[in-house]
Amino acid sequence: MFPTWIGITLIVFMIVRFAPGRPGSESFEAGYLSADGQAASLSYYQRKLGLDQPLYKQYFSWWRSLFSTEIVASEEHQTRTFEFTLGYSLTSRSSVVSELKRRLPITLLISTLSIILIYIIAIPTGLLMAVTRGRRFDIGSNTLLLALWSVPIVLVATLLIGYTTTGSLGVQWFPNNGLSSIGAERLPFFAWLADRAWHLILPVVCISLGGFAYLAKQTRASVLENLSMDYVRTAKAKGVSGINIIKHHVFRNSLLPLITIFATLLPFMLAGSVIVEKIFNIEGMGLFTFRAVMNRDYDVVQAMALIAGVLNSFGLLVADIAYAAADPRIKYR
Amino acid sequence: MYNSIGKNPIALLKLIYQRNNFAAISLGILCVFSLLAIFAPFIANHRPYVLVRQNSIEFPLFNMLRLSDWILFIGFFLGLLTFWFCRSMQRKAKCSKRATLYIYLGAVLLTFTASLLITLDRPTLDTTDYYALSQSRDNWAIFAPLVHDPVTANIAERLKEPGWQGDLSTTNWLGTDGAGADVCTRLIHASRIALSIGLISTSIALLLGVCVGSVMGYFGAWIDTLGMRIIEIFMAIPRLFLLLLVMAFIPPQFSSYTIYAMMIVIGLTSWMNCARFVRAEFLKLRELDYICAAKAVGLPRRSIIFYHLLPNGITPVLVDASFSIAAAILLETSLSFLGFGIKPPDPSWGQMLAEAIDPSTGVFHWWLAFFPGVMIFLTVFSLNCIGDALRDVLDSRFGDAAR
Repeated sequence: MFPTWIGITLIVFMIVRFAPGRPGSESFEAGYLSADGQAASLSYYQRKLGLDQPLYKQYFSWWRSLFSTEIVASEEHQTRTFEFTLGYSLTSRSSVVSELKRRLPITLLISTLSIILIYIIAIPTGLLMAVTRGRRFDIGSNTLLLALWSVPIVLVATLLIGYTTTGSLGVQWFPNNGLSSIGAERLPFFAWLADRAWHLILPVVCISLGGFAYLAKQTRASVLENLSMDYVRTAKAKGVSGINIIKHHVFRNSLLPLITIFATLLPFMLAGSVIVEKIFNIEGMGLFTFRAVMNRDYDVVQAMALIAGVLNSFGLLVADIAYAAADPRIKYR
Repeated sequence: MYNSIGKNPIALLKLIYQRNNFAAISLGILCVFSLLAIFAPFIANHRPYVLVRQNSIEFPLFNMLRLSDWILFIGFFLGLLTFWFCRSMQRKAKCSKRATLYIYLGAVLLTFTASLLITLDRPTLDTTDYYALSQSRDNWAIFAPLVHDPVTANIAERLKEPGWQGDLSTTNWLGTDGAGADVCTRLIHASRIALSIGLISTSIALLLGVCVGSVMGYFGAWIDTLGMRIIEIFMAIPRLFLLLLVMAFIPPQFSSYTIYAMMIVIGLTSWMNCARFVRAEFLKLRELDYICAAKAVGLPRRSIIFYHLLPNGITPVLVDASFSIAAAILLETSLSFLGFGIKPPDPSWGQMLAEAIDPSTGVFHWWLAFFPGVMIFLTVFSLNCIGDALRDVLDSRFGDAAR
């Protein structure tokens, strides 16, 4: 797990450092500095941010900068406090952790909601498709799923925003940006919740379409595989009815491989959140990353890569544990 | 079945057609789109094929054709010709398989070079109003079906709704965009960029994936372990994030090279699935008797890898290729939508989609969302359908090959 994180941060570090364009350079692209002034400003920023150091030193100092150490001296003794900061943003001057405290819950809220939605809808669909294998419903929904999977998020978002929020059909059904209306915090709790849900519908729908198609297809494949197993034939032979075979034998067994898909869905959600949060103007992690990339905010970009890697491995871990919990045949020692 | 498919693409196509009519339709759609892309300057162009002006004859359209256009046409016709030629020769068993392969490769390479060149040499801007010229007395001209230029802005005609406006050839069938350029023309020219990004980035990915995968699969042991770790690392980085990084860091004076950066980065970040499949195939194949025999005979390693293992282990790559082209086109669309990809005046589907909702007034121009959306959807959907059908035909399980 840890080597993976090192690898990710190393790759991102290399890209960021070898890419042209330096922090602070956008201030003189505007053209209100003389040539000397530009050079001076550049070298000032280089020295201030430690960019004139050799690359390996920069890399190690970045790892060190994830924790800021502070020596607090009091009358009795000196104490060293460690603060987990993940580096500092160049533009807002606040630590990445403090920004994340605000933004990570929003992104996680959207991702969790959509993952739950995906699982709730996709599993019955896939099951139904497998049961009606080769019939019209199966073929039709197979094609439909492939179609859903081929629609980019940006297209869905544009069409949804265009038709449901701009009032081009005469009614404005949904809000088109943000997570709450103005003054929502003064509303009573349930009204606030309804307002929040009203704002969340479009982003969640956009982000879940692709994952839904993917999971439904996997469910179908998994159920079909189980249906061809020997134990199903045995059950049939002893006279169990078709519904009971599905309900008691096949369903639980075919759910097992779907647990691991959770790990593949998570990075997909993170990538989607960049687009969705940008389009719907939601102040989550995706938009934060987007702005950091735009502003060449080195520390934030690297911290984000690290977080993406950590979340990925976390997803894998959760999937493994859940798998072991669900399947008594697997035991980790 | 393996052998007949590995060596004969026609057999594969026939099999797909028999199994899945839907995939055949999508193959047709894709063919139409490729033809549109290849012959875009002949279909949508404001320069006439022939302009007769007081006793002098000009060929403005042919004069503007660039090197990449010519290579594309020549490659296309060469490919068609060799295809037909080899078919008839193979039937009479006069053409060796290797010669056929080389000719195919030549045509493919020509087409690739052309698609690489597509944005490098831009046509010179030509603002002459040929249509008005041809309307005057003594002059006449033969025009392309759509008399519009994809890049010339025309502020007087901005944001026109689609529909009929009197004149057959100058009507903006699908409306105009925010700069006043014809949407239909831009769509056709954008299909060139989208398809070339899909093709080139996928071929980079396949090349890399096959190389890495075969090395991992053939040698096994610690090389395999190391390779799997590297693959894990690459899979843990969100691709969009990496692309955003690279695209955002391209300085503005190199902005005309963004398309190459996009091809390379998409290629460098999507080889993992391919490598995994090839590795799995190689691990399976190298235990077989015929490889053992080849080793016992004393064949060199490259011969075993390239002539014995690779042709038999390449089939899953085909499936991966069509999904990977689709994914590359989707990525290009998203990037251009976010403003990092193809920059105007070069046309791109994603960038047209982004224009659909006016950020300042919030007005929704439905034709700017609907028609590019249809193009993106049809292309990606057809590619995915073909990939799906290929997977069914080859009938192997690829696990989560899907995305």
